[in-house]
Amino acid sequence: MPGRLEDKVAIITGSATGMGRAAAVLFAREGARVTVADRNVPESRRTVAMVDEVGGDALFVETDVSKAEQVGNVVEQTIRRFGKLDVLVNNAGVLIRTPPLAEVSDLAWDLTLDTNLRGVFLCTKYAVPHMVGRGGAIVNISSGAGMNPTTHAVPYGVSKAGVIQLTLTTSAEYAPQGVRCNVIVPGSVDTPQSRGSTGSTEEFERISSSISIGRIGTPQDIANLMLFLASDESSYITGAAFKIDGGGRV
Amino acid sequence: MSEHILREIINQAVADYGFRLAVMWGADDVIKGLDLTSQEARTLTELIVPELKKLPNPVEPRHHDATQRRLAGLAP
Repeated sequence: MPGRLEDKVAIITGSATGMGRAAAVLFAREGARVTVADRNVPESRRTVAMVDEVGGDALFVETDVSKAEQVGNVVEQTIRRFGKLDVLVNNAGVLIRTPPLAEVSDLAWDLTLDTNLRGVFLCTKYAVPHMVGRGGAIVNISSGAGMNPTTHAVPYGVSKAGVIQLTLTTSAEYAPQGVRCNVIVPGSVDTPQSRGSTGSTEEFERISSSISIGRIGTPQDIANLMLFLASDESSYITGAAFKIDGGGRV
Repeated sequence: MSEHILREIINQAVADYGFRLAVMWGADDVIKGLDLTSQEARTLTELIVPELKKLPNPVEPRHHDATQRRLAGLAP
């Protein structure tokens, strides 16, 4: 039986760990050939090995999504290896905790916005020309922090709000040319970033137990939605935001 | 620029996993953003980053002080 992404080629940024890794493995299981784009070399190689284990075909390209030259390179290498590009998942992101806004350092602001927003912009900019006219799906990853006031992570919240706007604009400009663009808005998900950004295991467990549905989200939960939005099953969906948070915290 | 800039980087990287990721995998951006000297840049990339990569995630709050003191020895 053909997979849900049979014959598709996907670039997944931030796929060394967490949600991006889960998506890489799931996409491969469903028939896609996958490019793992990340700065973390050892964990990216582990993701490639996991794709191999499920019988998939993965290419790793060391990529800092905030650098135009590196983004151009990952797209070029993907086209050279797989011959086309059908799916882009803009998943790379970083959450730096900050003091209140007036005390936020320029460095924390720049590091966060460069990866989380400029990275989405650059990857989309370089991927879209390969999708226009022949079709493509872009899946952006925002955060509940992009839709609500976010204390102690001001740059993160702002960057994730920007990703939603970038999604709407990308969809409006390129849907007529066959490129769909949607955004996932996850709540709490059990990833290395999430565990690290809560500051302690005790706090992470407190947050996990406060979610309405009774558990914290898994990377697989988010990857399942990425798969749907990347596949032709969602061919009439573009410019949409999908909140996936287990009902939120209670 | 603080003369203790490397210690400030260490302290934040120990306490905040997101900042640690940025330093571990984007040290050049941190070096440029903080206008580090070539000596500071070398210390960061050659001594501090390899140690940051060995830390658990998260470093529990009760271990922050000891970990920060230990790594501060890399940034005299």
